[in-house]
Amino acid sequence: MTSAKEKYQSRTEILQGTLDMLILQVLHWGPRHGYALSKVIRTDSGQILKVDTGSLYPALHRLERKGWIAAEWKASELGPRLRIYRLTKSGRKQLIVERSRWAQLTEAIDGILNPAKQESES
Amino acid sequence: MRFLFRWRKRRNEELNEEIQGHLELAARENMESGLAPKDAQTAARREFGSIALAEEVTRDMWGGRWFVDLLQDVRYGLRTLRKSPGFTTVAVLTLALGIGATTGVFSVVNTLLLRSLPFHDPSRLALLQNFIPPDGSAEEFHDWRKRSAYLADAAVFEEWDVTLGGAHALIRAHTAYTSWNFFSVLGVQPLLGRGFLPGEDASRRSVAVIGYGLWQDLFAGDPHALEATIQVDGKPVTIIGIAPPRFDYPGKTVLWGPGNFSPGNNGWITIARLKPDISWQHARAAFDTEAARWVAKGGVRAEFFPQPRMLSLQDGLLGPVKNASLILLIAVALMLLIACSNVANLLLARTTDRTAELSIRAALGASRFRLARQLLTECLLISVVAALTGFLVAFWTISLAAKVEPPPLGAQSYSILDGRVLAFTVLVSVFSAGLFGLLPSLYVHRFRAFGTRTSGGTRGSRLARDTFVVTQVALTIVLLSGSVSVGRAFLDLMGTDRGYAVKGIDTVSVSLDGTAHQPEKRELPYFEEVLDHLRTLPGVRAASATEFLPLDATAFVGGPFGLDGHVAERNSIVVPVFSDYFRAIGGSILYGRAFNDKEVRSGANVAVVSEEFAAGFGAPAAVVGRQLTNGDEHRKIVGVIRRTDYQIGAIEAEFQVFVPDSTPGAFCCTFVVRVDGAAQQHLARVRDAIRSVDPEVPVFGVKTMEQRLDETVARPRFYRTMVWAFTGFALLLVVVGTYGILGYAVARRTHEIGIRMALGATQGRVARFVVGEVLLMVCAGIAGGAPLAFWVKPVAAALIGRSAGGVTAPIAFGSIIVFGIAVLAAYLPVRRATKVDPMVALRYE
Repeated sequence: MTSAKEKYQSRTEILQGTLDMLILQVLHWGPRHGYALSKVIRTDSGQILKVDTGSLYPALHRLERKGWIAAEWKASELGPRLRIYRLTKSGRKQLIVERSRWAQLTEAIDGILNPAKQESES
Repeated sequence: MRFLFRWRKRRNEELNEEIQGHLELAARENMESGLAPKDAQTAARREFGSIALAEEVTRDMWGGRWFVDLLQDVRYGLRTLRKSPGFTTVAVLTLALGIGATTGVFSVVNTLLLRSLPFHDPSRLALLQNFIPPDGSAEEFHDWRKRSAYLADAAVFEEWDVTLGGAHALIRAHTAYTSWNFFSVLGVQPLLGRGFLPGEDASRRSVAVIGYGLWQDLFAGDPHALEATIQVDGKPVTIIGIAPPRFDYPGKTVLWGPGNFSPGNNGWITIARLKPDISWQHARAAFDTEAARWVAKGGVRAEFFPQPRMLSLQDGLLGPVKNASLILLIAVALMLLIACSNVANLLLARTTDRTAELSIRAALGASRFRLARQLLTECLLISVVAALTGFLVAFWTISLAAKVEPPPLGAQSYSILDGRVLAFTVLVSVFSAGLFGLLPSLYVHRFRAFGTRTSGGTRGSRLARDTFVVTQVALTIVLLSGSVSVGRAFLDLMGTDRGYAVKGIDTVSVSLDGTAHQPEKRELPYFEEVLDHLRTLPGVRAASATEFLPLDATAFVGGPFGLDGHVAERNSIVVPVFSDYFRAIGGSILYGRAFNDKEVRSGANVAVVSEEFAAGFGAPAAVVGRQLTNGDEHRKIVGVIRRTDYQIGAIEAEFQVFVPDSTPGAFCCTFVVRVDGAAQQHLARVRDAIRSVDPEVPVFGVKTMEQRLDETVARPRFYRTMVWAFTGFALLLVVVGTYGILGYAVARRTHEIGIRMALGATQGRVARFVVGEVLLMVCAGIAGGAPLAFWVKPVAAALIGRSAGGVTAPIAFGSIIVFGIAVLAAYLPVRRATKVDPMVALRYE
């Protein structure tokens, strides 16, 4: 219980520019609505990453305009109509691009943080 | 547009629904984890953050945000403008006049200078001015053009008026006689039939190409007109081709015939097409060399003949109109600048008055950029409405211009509905909006979110306003000096002692070409019969005839006349006249006598010369009885006539030599009838009297001398009127502008003036202090404008055709007028300032 609270307090804002990738990645597993998306990101990051709704919806609408995700309205058994987002074909491609970019980035940062390790490997 | 709004509205609703869904799901989850419904909802909202902000940022992602903002600005702008109709009306009308007149003048410039001629590859067409190629025979000419190192092709033509005899009536028509390749040099194909064939200009075959309009008039567009015969000055001519619609080069020609080459013809005009690979510069150099050789060989007497020049055909067609239209464009642009600065002023004052509104908007989060954009949008709105209204002014301007200064070619017309003109109008409107909107928008940076009420008299805005007055005064002085010197030149033109009467003279032209009088050499008896008849009419004081009337500058034949073999310093024109001519036209014989009937009938070798000609040889009286010489020709001078202004407005007018007209009717002859009372009342009677002698003789040019003069000065008068109108409007703007600025300044400073008066300033001191400021601004404007105004020196020469002395007097005059007007405009505000009651003023605000 305490650990959850600590985690909640130490949660960080999502790194600039990675929200798009996270959304695409989460949608890769299947269509979701905005609230579910934010929840998945939060729980899957072990409560560390918190999606600010002030940037989630703009990001969703931006991705939709770029054609990487598509949206449709679905009636939910819970009551209100929900806007469900799913990945499109070009969104899938974009996800691969973003992932490889992210891999490069982390590798590069890792290299700076652990220079010895890199040297011994090469 | 409406579709866009509906789309955005739907998306807004959807976004709202989406976020509501989000909140609901979150609240539900909170409830499941044990919170009371109300707390669950509050927690969900807290977690979400600002809904409005999320929505706002999301909306930005849809794109087209700028457009929605623009529409918002436009709607808001329209509402604000409608709320102050006085300001809007003044601003729109001021700009409409400015933009409209500028557009109108530009469309004239566009047609004349920018649009290319309606010929094939017109940029390679040249006019060889004051140059006559070898023209002894058609072969000689064609040889010359084929051997030319710099011309791909060249054609010559000469033009004159003829009488066309149709099935129905006689028509006077303008014709051109050309080398056979005239149409191919221009790259124009006949609509029907053919042009001239090689060698046709040497064969003396009677064939002609007729204009489209004439084809419609005479044959109603019947294709059988080809091979039909029409009478040209009584001779049958076969039609071989129909020119394309609106082709009327040169000079409104309706019939083209093959030229008649003969040695010594000096009426040829030469047009040419440059070789494809040669630059204009090289072609010009080559032409100058050839022309110099031609002049040296005695092609013309260099001292009497203007320098041969190679011009582009476009420039050649325009002549003096080119400079005139550019000057009008500058004048109208100055007026537009003044109009803009006036509107800028109004706007600045308005912006200051809107301080409260703008500050509140800034406080609510509007960025400065957004506020500035709002103001600029309003300016653009004013400008657009003004431009639309201005189209009326523009249409009026071009219809006036088309009347007075028609384009040189029938295929050209002044039009506003032209891509370039419309683009120009848009540019001018946007530019004006920027110009008058810039300062007020810059002013926006003063609005902070707090401190709603800053004093309107901040230094920056006052400086800006003062700059406006100074600029306006400076520009107005340039315009005023220009219009004063144009007005003076025009007065000069109208006030010149012409040496003949303008009132009380009727003129009627006839042409005997192709009539029964011509073949039998019966021209002279016809004229004598008509003159006898005219002289018996009641109210007719004198009647005579001449081949060249004053003002009729198209048909002069001249020569380097001299006295006893000594050549005069200028060329002279030869004016064949009948007896009693000088009395009929109202000229006066200074020395010697006029011709008598016997001399006219026998074609005696006598002459009357003009006073200026005689003055070149000592005392004018002394030339009487001496010999007038022109090469081997001799004539006895029997009289000297007072200076006569034959070529109105010509800066270098030629002298005149009058000779008895024993062989009239070569071109056409004009009867000159001096009547009692108004010339207009006798005109029809004079015409009928002439017609009654022989109804077969075509009668045309039935006009009073006054009408002829009016037509001649129509162009300078038009230019003068335009310049005056622009200037008058500019002056009005200065009055309104100065009054507005001062009135505003005084109103703003009521408080300050009140304190000064409370501290003991007298009314006189307050007046002096306000007036002093005005005078300072006006003087600064005069200091800035006067040097600029020296540029108006060539204006009068370009517009009126004669220079009008120095520019110092017009500048001084202009300065005084502006000064006076500024003081006048200052009167009311100053009066208001002196009437300030200190107690009221101190409570002001």
